[in-house]
Amino acid sequence: MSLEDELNQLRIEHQTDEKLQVAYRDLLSRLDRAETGQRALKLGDAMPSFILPDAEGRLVASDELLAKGPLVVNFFRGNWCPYCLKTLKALEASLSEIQAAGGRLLAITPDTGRHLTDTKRVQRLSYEILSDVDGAVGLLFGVLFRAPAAYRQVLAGYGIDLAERHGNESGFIPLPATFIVDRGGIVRYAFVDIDFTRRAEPAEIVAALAKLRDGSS
Amino acid sequence: MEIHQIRYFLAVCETLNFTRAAEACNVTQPALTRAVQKLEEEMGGLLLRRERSRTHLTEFGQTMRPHLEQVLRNTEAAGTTAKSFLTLEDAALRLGVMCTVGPLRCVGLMTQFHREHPGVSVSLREGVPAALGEMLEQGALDLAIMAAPGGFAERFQVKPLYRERFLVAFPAGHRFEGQPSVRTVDCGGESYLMRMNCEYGSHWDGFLAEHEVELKEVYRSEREDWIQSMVTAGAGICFLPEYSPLLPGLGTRPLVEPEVYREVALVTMPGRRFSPAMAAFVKTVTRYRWPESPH
Repeated sequence: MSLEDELNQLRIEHQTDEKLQVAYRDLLSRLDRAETGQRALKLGDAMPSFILPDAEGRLVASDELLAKGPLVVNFFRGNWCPYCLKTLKALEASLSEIQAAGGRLLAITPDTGRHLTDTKRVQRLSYEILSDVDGAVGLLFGVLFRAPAAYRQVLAGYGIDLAERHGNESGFIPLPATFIVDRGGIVRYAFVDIDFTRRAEPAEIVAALAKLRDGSS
Repeated sequence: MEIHQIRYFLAVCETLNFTRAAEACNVTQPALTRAVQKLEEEMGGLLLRRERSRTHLTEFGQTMRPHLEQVLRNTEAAGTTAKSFLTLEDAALRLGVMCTVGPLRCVGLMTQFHREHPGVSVSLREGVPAALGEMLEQGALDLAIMAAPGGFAERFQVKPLYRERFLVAFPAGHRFEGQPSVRTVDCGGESYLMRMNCEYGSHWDGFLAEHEVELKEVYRSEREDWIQSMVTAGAGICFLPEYSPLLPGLGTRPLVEPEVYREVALVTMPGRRFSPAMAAFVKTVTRYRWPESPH
């Protein structure tokens, strides 16, 4: 089953939740009107350098990682989002293929502290999860937006407290987005969608990495 | 949201005038207005209200302004961090150092850090490891250089820096002068001065008892210099870390059978908001070559 199939199953499940559907449609139309993500990093753009803490509290510098090979940078909202969870798990399942194709996976979330370690531990993820404290890296990539009050209220109804998770009251979260960046820091693949139920397919990521590896010989 | 949208909005916050803000940002007024409108659309509310010739922030604008300032500041820092730290202005790093490390030991490190990053000011707090740990937890310190005899609590992020042996200190003319090192059993019967600032202070009682060595505690003090002065004057012996600054006239030998040592580490709180200044310091201290002991 592809990731898209799994996500489709989730979409069908959630269709019956009327409150959620209203908030979802409202969010999408708002993001569409505001043209959110339309000026996110594109093919050929240079990825801005950044340093972020990982789940173990160590600082990870993008420059140091790039020196070792291409990066797959995956923005996700948090382990509260079932679509994010499916994506994180699908990426873990494809990790050996991603690595064989020469890529190194980084997942970036606005979650902080124990939410990172919980995500890594509970989902049994072996790749780097970084905390985008205050959303700066999301903003640099052009994928950051403020979750509308209506949407935040629906999440609160499910016991999801974004302020507690993020350590601030901004409500800023990223669009789900995946970028592949080559050793020179140039974006060679970009998937950005205002619809958080849509994600980059791991098979596509592997194919793009393979093309990069073969093309750069 | 986009960086330029936030920048333009903050410029209007400063000038409270769209035209002047556009001038300050080097764009046309319509372009700035459009950008702010797009930001308002995404944020889900009006950030600014225009009334006749006056412009002011809405309540929503006032609430969101600090968040937008913070994220923008962080984007500038993220770029600076990776390129060069030299443009960091008035950055303040709060470092805690346990009092038994001693200024000399730190001077080399601080000098190197200042040479590499002159824009970063560092405030230095001294304290016993327990106090430094509390300050780290409360957010009063960014980092601490310290040791913990039983190891650190799990809540801390620990990066070992160097290992330091404990020495026996004694006055000139003492019998230990004739030995290259002092075995734990050799200390039996000596008068002992306890250095209360040392995180190993209470550790010695247990250690000596374990090795069936009896010492007579004659004095205890938080003052390193008082302890060392009294040792020099013949009041007794003490145990101290090998890189301690020493008063003249104080003899030292490594303690052996067994050796006692401490692991000095850089300690931070995981998952905390970090700053480029902190990243800079962690980088410097990790690479720093601590001077070897003459012993």
